[in-house]
Amino acid sequence: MSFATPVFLIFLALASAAYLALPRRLQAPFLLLASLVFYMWALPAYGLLVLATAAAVYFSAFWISGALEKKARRLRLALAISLPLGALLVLKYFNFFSGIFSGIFGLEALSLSPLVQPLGISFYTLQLTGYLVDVYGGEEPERDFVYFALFASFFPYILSGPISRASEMLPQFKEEHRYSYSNAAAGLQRFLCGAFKKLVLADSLGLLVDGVWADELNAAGWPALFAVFFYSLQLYCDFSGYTDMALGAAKVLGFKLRENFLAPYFAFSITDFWSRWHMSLTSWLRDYIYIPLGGNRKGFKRKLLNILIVFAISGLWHGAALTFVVWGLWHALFRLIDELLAKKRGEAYLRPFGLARTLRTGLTFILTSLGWVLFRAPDLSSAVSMVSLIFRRGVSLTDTLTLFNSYAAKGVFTDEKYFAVFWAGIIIAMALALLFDIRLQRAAGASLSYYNPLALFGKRARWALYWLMGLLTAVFYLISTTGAAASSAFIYAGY
Amino acid sequence: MKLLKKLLIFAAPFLLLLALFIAFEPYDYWGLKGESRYYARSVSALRELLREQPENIVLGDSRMANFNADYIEEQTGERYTMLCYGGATLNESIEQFWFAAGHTGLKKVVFGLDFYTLNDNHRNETRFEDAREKALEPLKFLGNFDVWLDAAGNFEVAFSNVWADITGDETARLTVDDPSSLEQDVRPPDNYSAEGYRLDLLEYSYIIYSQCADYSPPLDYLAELEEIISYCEENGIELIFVIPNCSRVIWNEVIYPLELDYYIDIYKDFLKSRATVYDMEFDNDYAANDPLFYDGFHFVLEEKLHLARVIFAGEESEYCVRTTKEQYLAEKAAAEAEAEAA
Repeated sequence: MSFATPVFLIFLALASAAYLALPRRLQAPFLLLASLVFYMWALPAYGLLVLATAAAVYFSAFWISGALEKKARRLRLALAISLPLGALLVLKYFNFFSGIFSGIFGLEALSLSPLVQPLGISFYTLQLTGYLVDVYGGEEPERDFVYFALFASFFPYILSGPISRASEMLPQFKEEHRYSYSNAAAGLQRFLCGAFKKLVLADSLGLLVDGVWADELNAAGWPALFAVFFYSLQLYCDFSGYTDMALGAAKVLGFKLRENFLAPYFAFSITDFWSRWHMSLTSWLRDYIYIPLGGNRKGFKRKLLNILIVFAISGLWHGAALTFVVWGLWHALFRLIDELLAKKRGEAYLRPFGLARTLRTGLTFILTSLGWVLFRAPDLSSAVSMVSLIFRRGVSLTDTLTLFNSYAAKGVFTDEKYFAVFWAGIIIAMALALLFDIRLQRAAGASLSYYNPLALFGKRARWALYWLMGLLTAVFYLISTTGAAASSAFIYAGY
Repeated sequence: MKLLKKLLIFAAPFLLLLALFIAFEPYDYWGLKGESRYYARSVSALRELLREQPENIVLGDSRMANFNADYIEEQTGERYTMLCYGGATLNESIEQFWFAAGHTGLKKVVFGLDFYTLNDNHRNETRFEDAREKALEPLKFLGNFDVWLDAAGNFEVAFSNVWADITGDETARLTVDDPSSLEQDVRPPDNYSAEGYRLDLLEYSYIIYSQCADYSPPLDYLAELEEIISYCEENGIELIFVIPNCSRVIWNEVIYPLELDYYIDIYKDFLKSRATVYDMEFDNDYAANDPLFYDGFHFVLEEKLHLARVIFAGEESEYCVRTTKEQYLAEKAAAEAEAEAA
């Protein structure tokens, strides 16, 4: 069940109404049941896997906490972690490593059907692994399996995060939640923002990006340049849109989830970028990989090595393909350059302002956009080819618009006047997305508190935005479900 | 209550939009308007069937869809639901039959077909599933962008015509093509080529030729029609196949060059030996009477009314050979016996 569908809205309304009306002792079991229904909507076997994994981790936590000696605890931790990580390795990475292995030794590669990989496995595996490490670190294991299974499978975040911590979620699951107007209003506002970004901007830009990638003969010059730029926006709006919907849905129920984005394309360096993009993953990698490896406590060279390892793991986590590993290393390279420059230039490098900040922000956007080409490309040579096409002479700017209209028209638009609706929608959506990020950038500062861009506007402006965003979302939802338009699946749902 | 109130205020413009949509959608999906646009018949006919539960239906492509249901009712006293629509393939007509059989108690089926639809090469062409989904699932209908575009187009026509009425500017008036309408009469232009054909009939025949050039004998189609025939016999449903005629230019420019007359004889024999057939597809004076035809396949208004009376009201016509299965088999047996004796 995708967030961006009317079915989910009905599900959310019914689940929220029932949950908030139930007595306290029934709330968690009901929410667990609703989460499993949500997750198993596509394939019932998915639910069995997540429950089985949760059960294994649940019991493993007691086993770890039962060990008194540090060495025994460490061994038990290693064995316990192998369960969820093992499932992830087999279901997601088997084909990848099998391909590498067979390439090295010249053997025939074994492969599992790609359909076996359950949705969200990368996300809930990290959550459960983090929980085991927390227990190893001294946290008390959760005694109630219902709460724990709910932590593993909570429907707002199970598919694509944000990657949450047991210490944040378990206390919330144990509280009684009642209907609150402010929660419902804020949650629905946030949900609307997410649906708007996903359906109006991400999916529309996806039509154009897919069109360029499928039409390499006409891609040279402006089309390639726009495709790279549009994909950066598409990915951001798709993933942050999903996150907004997840946080909004959770807020309606009375839960607070971690924020995942803080105007990432306003970052002035790759380091700054990773403090704004997919923040729940960044913090997880920092707390469970970087710090255990020693962080910055074992010298500068070791720090650089640890950063390299973390980015390589991040790349691999995103996808079982060489392109993702290279993407991780691409970011690692510039992250390391940041460290070296920061060491040399000090505070001035870490806190740029004025023109320097603007130029560095532009450069950072270009570097991340080039990195995203690796995300989009089916293989390394296609990625290199697409980037090289930017610098080749191709069609003019007006012909590029005609080309994009033909991509948008595939099975959707039969009359030219409707292109005006399409482009108007995209331009309005881009302007609003930029406006929201500018406002969030100013309002949030260093505080990672709750971000709701709509709450930053006055009443009249807010209502005008509700209607404008609602109308555009509805129109573009219709477009996404008609003809041969781009699928409305979330990009990050594949990871 | 506060949230509900705010949600209602939020929903107000969308409810207004929905109301406008229902008012202007051309499919008459909920039967509120009593008529649908000609181009929307693939869906609106199914909806009408579900609502009205008719006993009589008409299947086929535009050649059957161009008959006016109200006129037929006036002439016969019987109401027919016109499931036929422009561009319908035989595949779609067959699927429509089974849909109708599953959703209503049929008593009479008038099934139009001809050499053009009886082409096995087009057997996989069907939009029926899309039409069926839209007809059976209102949410899918409401969630289809093309349907909203159709409603917007219909609104544009209505608005332009109101504007034309107010301002008197007739150039602003938009009309929507409806060949089944009794108000719209299309007359053939007076272009004649050296061969005595109208130039536009000739050009039309080139289009038909290109679409029939890959002709494949209708073996699978005939098997499926046999299933329909058996079903109707078992369930006491009166089934009549109607084979309309076409212009002589189609005979000369398409049928003879592609040797389709061979297959025409085969499928006529097949159908006539199994069911009642109203056969008008002959290369005769009727086919040569150019002014009857708007294009190679379709008729001018007067002739459409005449054919409606012939097919539905039993009006006699020398150009329509009506045979039942029994009659045909008896005639065939007699002809064979005569041939043997000779």
